[in-house]
Amino acid sequence: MTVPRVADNLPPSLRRGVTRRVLAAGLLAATFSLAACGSGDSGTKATGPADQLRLAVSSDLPTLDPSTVYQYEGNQVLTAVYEGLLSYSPDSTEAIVPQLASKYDVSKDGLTYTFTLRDDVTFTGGRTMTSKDVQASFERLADKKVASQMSYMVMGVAKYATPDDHTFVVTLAAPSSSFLSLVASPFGPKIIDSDVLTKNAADSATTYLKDHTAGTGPYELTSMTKGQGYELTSRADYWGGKPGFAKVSVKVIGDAATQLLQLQGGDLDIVTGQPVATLDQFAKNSGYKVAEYPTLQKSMLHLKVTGNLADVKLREALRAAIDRDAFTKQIFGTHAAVSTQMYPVKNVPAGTAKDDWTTDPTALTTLAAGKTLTLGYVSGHARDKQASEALQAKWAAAGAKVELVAVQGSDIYGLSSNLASAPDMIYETAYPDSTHPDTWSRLFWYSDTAKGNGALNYLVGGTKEADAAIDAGAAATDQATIDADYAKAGDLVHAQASYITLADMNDSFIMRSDLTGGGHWLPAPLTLDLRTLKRAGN
Amino acid sequence: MGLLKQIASRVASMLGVLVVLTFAVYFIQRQLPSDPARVLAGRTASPEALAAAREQLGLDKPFLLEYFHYLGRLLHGDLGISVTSRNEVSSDIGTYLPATLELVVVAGVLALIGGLILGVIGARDGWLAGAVRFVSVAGASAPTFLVAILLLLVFYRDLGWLPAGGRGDALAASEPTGLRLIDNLVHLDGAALADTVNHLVLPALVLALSPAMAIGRVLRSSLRATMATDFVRSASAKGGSWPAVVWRHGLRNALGPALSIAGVQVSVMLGGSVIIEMLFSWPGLGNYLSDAIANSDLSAIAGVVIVLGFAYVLITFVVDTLQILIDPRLREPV
Repeated sequence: MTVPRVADNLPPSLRRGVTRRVLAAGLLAATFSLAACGSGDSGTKATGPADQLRLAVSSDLPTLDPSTVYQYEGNQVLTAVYEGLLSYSPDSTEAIVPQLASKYDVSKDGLTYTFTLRDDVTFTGGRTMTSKDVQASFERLADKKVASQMSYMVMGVAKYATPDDHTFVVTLAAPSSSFLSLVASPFGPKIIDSDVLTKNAADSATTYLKDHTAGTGPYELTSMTKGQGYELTSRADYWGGKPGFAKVSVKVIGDAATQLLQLQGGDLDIVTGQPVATLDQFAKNSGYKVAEYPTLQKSMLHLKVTGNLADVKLREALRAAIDRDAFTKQIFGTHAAVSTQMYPVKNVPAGTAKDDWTTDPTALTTLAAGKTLTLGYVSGHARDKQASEALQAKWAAAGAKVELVAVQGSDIYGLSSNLASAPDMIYETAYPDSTHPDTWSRLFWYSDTAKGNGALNYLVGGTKEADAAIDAGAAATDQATIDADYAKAGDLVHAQASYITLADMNDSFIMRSDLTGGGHWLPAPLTLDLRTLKRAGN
Repeated sequence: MGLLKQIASRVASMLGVLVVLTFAVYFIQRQLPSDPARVLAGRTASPEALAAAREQLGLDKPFLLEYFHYLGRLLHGDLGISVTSRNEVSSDIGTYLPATLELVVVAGVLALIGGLILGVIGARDGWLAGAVRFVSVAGASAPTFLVAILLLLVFYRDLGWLPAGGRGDALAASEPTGLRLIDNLVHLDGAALADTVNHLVLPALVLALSPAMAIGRVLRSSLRATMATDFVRSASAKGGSWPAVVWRHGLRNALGPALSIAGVQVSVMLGGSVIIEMLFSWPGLGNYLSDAIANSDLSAIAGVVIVLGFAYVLITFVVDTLQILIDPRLREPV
């Protein structure tokens, strides 16, 4: 997955880096910085009603259907309205915690998952949730009429069972070590009122759920204007207690600079997706604070293993010429950490699947002599371009000629099928759907793309041996084996130098200083957990 | 050629332009390496699912055959399916078009009024005319983006007089037309009307700025030329005041070129609204198009381009026809 507000309907992993709109913000950062400097703290205007929270998203939700929205920012609305059986801990760690399920058990063979459901959960409208609702929601994810991009999460399910109203049993066709992480994923199955699904069965409720909600979350939708915003109201009968705000307004504001203006003007409480300079500027203003959370977003390079880059020594030399400390500081400031592993943070145990090297540009001079390499980045992503230019400059200093190529949005999907015309390297920032290493390695590294794996393996890196390790990790049932298999896959890909990881990026929110308690799920970029967020004194 | 025949000829020409436009849009859409089927089916789609998505989007057939199918669907108002919203593109456009129409119409009216004022004042000699000319040149050269930010800083952030964006209260009536000014009037909702006007002021002003300058410049030149003609000078010599002569004799004869440029400018505003809508969070076609481009949502892009292209051709046709009706000199001899 990827970054701020790009292609709403692209898989999250394809929404890299900063969006086109951040370019505008970048252009204006100096203006606002000057204004903010000039006014000191006076740029902070009074907040709105104490019991109301105002947020901005940079692009509209294509629909409110929780089975089809595959968009980061959409989760800011959907996770407030819908819930899953499990979720990630709000402290932005890899811990999976119960949500609508009070507990779960996994059979020793890794095939049967038994979820015990809470008995105090109601849907908007007051009906009590039962296991039938859960089964209907899981089944809907695989419904062809729904055509959910997240259907892969339940494709391995052999059958469901509901022995009683509060027990839901999933039996897999084969062990899948990533299953629980997908159930907990912010993009995973969300529970929908099955009455709504039954009443709208003709089209699997796809029309109804586009602009209505039927979830169990702390908020319900009270009004919406397409392209403009959503009004959420807290539910009195929410099982988890009263949330911190009676109302939440989510405004669609495409331009990052306009978001900042509204923050300064007192019409917004929180903005995100802002350039580094803006974050640093607001961090100095006592009226605001910049909340930072770790994420699974990684800044990285894909490298061909054919053509110009067929020689692994050249790929290693390109890698060795990169000073990651300087790169990270230059592009992300203090809002990212230097990458140390082939996987996003917390995917595999620390110290495994390492992506380390000693910076030494000397070898590149000889190996790249006489060659012109190409580095692609996704067009319209200002920060991706900036990062690519920084890499180009570093390689040029070492004597390698590298030309930049802007790649259009979804064109990147087609690169693997026409590899000869693809750039030698691709820079991107990307996220997986969950903290499980399978959701990363299977998408980016799997070299056998014939069965739908390796969908984001744009330049067809990876090896058969790494594929086998990934498959072994997926099928394993004990954690030590799982960790070892995925670490092995990471080591093999590192040795191939077909992927170079650069930085682990943070989520950064600029918020009014009177807001406290914001929770964040590690795999949910650009999204705050509204269950815990409060205004001081409210 | 009779008047009706002349108009019929323009209609035929308009239709020809539209066919060429649809062909160009479809050709470009098919030549791009983007794969909307992958966007629709998702990153983990099986080859079968991908093939089904390709078929659903009509990407599996020969180009010309599919183009004629596309044209046939267009004639029935079917613009295809948006891979982003999964709605019919025509339905999405129906949702977003009223906001854009309202913005462009209000901005168009402001541009006409502003252009008229600037043109008339600028046509007279004196320091005021000089100042107007200066403002016209400066206004036309100022990047829309910066003007928008400047106005937002002043009128929203510093003075707090106007809202920064959006279209107003989400709960306000947006039926029967989707044009809130009209809907608020229909429902006799004064508060909502005031709110709508408040939200319209800044984006409409910014959108109107450049066209107003262009109309003003053309009108000024045309008016100065008209005011120098013998019949106008005769009218002045009979004792008519400058404003009276301008009103009675000058404007009527000078309006032709201004009307022509106004038509072009209103059409240009449709395209210019993309940036304005983004800056002011205006929930219209511009924002929809902006998101569609980011998502490589080719059906949506093509749909918006065709609608805007149709509007452009239609406005041009209306302006041409009006000019023929107003100015008999433009009619071709029978």
